[in-house]
Amino acid sequence: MNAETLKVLSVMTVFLPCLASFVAFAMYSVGFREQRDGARARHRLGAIIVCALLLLSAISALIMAVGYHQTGEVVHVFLADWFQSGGLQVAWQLRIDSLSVLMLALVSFIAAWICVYSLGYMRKDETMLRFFCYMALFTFSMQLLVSADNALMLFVGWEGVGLCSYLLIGYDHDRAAANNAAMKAFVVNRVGDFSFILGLILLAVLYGSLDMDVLLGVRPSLTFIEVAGYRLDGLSLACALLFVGAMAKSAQWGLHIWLADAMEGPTPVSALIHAATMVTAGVFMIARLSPIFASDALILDIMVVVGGLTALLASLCAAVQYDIKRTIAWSTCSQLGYMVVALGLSAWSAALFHLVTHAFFKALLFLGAGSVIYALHHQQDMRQMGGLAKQMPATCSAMWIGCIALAGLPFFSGYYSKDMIIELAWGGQNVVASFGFACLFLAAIATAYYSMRMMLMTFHLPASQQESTDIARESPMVMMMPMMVLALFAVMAGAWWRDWFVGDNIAFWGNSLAPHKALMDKLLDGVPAEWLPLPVVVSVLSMQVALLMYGFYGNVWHTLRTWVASGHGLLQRGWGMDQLYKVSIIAFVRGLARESASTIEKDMIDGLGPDGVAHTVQRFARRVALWHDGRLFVYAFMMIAAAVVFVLWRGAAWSLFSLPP
Amino acid sequence: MTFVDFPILSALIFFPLVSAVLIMVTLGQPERVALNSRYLAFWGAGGHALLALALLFVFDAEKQGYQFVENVLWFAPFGIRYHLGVDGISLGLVLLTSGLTLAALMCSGGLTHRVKEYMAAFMVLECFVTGALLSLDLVPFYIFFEGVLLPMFFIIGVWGGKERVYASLKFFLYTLAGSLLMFVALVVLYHETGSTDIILIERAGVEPSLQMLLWLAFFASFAVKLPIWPFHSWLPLAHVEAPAAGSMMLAGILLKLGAYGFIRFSLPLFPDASVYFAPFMYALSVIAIIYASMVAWQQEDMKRLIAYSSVAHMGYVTLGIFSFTVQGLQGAMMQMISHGLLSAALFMGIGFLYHRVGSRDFAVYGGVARVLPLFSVAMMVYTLGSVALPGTSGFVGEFMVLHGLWTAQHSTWAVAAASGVVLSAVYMLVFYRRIFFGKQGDKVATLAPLTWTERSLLVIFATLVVLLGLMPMLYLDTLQGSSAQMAPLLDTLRAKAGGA
Repeated sequence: MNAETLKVLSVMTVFLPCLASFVAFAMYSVGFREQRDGARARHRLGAIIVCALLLLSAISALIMAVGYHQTGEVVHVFLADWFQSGGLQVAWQLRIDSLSVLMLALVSFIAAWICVYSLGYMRKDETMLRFFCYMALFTFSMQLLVSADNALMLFVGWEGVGLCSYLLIGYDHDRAAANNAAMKAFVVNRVGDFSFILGLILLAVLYGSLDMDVLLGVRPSLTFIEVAGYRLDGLSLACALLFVGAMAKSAQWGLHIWLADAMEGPTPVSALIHAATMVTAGVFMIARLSPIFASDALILDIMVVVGGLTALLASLCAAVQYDIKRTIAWSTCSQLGYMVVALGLSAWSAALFHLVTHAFFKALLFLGAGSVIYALHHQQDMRQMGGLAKQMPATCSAMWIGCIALAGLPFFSGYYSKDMIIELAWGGQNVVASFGFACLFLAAIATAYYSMRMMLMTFHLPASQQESTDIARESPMVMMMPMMVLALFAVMAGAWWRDWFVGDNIAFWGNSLAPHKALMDKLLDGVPAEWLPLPVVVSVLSMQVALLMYGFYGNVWHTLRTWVASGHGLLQRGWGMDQLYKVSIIAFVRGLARESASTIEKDMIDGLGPDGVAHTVQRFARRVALWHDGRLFVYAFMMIAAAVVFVLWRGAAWSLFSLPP
Repeated sequence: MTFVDFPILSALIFFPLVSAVLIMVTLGQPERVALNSRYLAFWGAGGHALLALALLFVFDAEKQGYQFVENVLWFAPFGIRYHLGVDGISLGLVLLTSGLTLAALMCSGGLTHRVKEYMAAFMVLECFVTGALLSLDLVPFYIFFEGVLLPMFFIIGVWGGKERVYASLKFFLYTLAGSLLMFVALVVLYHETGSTDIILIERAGVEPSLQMLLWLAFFASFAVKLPIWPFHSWLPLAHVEAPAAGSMMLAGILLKLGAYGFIRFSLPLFPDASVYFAPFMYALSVIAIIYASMVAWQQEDMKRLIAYSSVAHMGYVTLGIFSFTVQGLQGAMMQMISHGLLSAALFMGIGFLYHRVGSRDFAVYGGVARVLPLFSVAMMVYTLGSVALPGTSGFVGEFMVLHGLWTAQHSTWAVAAASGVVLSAVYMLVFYRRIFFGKQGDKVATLAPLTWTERSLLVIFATLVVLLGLMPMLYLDTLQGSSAQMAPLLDTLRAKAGGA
């Protein structure tokens, strides 16, 4: 495929969703005030158009991905100038290389199928088109993000997906909970952006440009900079700043608090944004800028630690949730930790591999959960479910596939990608990598446990509320189809593509990723063969534990629960991080803001400033006015007194300083 | 008279004034007078806009120095000259003035009280603002700059809300107090250099020791106007009490005059003092960004919230100017234009709501998104612009300012200023949420639909915000000549400040 074709296809892939979003917006606003039956038909038609356009975008992305092998070079698609100022020049330009081709295909493919699913899921929604408009806009932003040819344009996509996430979490904007969650997601992400934008500015200062070619090329000669009197290595600082940005977007521990609440959004949103695509943007960004990160050992170690902690702590939270979506959300958080550990081990392509397989099986799990929630009329509490396997066999099997892939049982996609990362950590052979390994290994146990627990509570335990689960019916075809497609990939993606990411075809990545340290090859034969199945074994064991607890020995669970009741509560609230922030940072800033608004603003700035001055002048004027009371005597006295003072003063001046009169 | 000789700048300044005079002499039935003065005001503003567009068309963006200069002796005894000229820095602001005056007039359709005087006041305002932007002699500048206060004083005091008298007096006296110091400085400058022409003064140079005092005197005036923390307390009150159109002009243009003053006068005339006081400016700007954002967050009144957000946004402008880099300066200009559009648009939107419901309290609103979709989308665009989301005009300016600041090795200030990224998201999303999302307020369900004028205004502002965000070169290109001209000065300043 030649460069021209690639250009056309990439523009189609990126801008068709943009067009879709415009179409949806236009159709939504036209005749908004009419309350006729036509409105519903219009919404439906608009949604179908959006799906068609997204599918078209996905098709062109797939053609591009298949055809790209034969080119293998970097293609720049210039669209327009953005701005230039000082020495900095920024253009709207797409970058087509191995990494962006992969991501474009992944994003558009999953987005298209999830939109098809939404046709069914959102069927009863009055303002369905609004939903599709946001979804298309999201896809567009995500594609800008992954195909940006300069870091500032990447930031455009970065903020665009954040905005769409905000709009979609708060989609049901009559509900306070949805609004709160949306606000929280946006603001926490802005905390990351604060750091991210400073990182970008620092890169611009160091490299004099934000173009990917420059950033991925030669390192700047002079990287020392001065911040607050300290001489720092500019690149390390930039990496650290960018990583904090990635931590917010990819929900790493400390800035992860928004993700579980984001489940207030409709389920397809959770599948697309908070599982398959947006939350992986941080991982993508680090992979994209891997040549910069690769050089900095310290930040890589920090990544391993942060990622490992995230994977472990979040997986424990997942193990005790009762809300089916929150279970999967914590699981996502935990899996993102795996990817970050892989990045920290400079195994860029292994991180991307898990990103891809995770996108399929996690989207599948969310869609399955959505199917259940849809069938139960928006019941999300797993304690109210149970026994659904009979009524919803297809959904049940799809979820099983997702769960097995997640738990990493052999030959499902997660087996290849997740175990790979655990092996890598094992092979790292230093303290940090060992810490990462321990976290990931324990997290894998918890993962298998909560997957099993979720399946049992939802589908296989006897229904606790017979009458409420009786209403459940299998979802319509339009929802089942996307699930089947994703299920296929959840099973096969690992086996099919393993070679491209971590095997013989790894040359595919060319220069789009930093060179992998010899680490990868070393460990592939470094781990003793008899240890390789260990993660699988412990996962299976851990599933047995779940079976025991929920299946046969209910009493065991109860005894245990009284034991760990306190810990359980803490875990359910995500280790109490929300509470911690609320009583510390948020309370502090809010208090400061209140003080500013009341005390400083009113009493000090106004009180000592204009109002204070005005009052003083007024008081003084009133005093003075007392003398002007119309009595001639006072006036005469004043006049004489003034004259005396004047004469005395001039006279004194005359004699003392010999000033001319 | 050839085309080149046409005094386009004088025409720009006095066209609205002629219209104001005509408005004041209209006689007849009250309804007739109201209608006619409306027409005349539109003629005045429209003519101004056409002239401004013509100016943009014939303006040579790459040429350095002032263009279309008019320079005649005006007051012979003191050598005061009527000296006008336009460069990239004033051009954009003149265009903004034109556009916002037209928009403000279009938003005043519902007005019935003393229409004649209202229209005249807006015309006089436009005349004075344009005059201040185009004057190159300190005396005419001072007259126009001060003159701006008068129409604004009446706009707030006559057509304002409940506490309009207090608000307008505070506004007037506060700004006047600042300006009087500038007047004293002006006299001193004349005494020292024998001229009030800024080009001549710059060439002659001012004694460094004297610069400090003079800088502070000019600062007093510009800081109140801009406003810089802690001289801002007149602003929220003035905004709250002013009618929507008044707020649009106040936030959109009047605040910019202060920043314009710093660029045009403080930097070139008092370079040593500017360098000396730069850290002081950084500190005040950063305090403004953080402090005003937090205060904005706590407001219950929509207009107050936006007013405080203006203080925060102006913090970036002063940071950019005093970074002494071309990026910083251009960023500051971009931020000014962007803020001019955004704050005017937000006040306009609030005006539409106030007109329908009669309250500015958040508590009354909620759930507007369900009722007025176009309005909600447009306001979302303005909100995002205010948050400086990339793709809107707000982002480019902020980014350039921060980049300039860091380039000049003031990374600590850049980091502190970037905290606005988080804070602006907090207060603007709170703003949006409380009006548009959540439980529907009692009067919200029956909100009257938008008129076509309102719709088109909303769309035009939103389009401009996005267009300038995606293609900021449309504006930045007009700054080429001025930037090139300012570059040597900025380099000297930076060298004096000890930066790279």
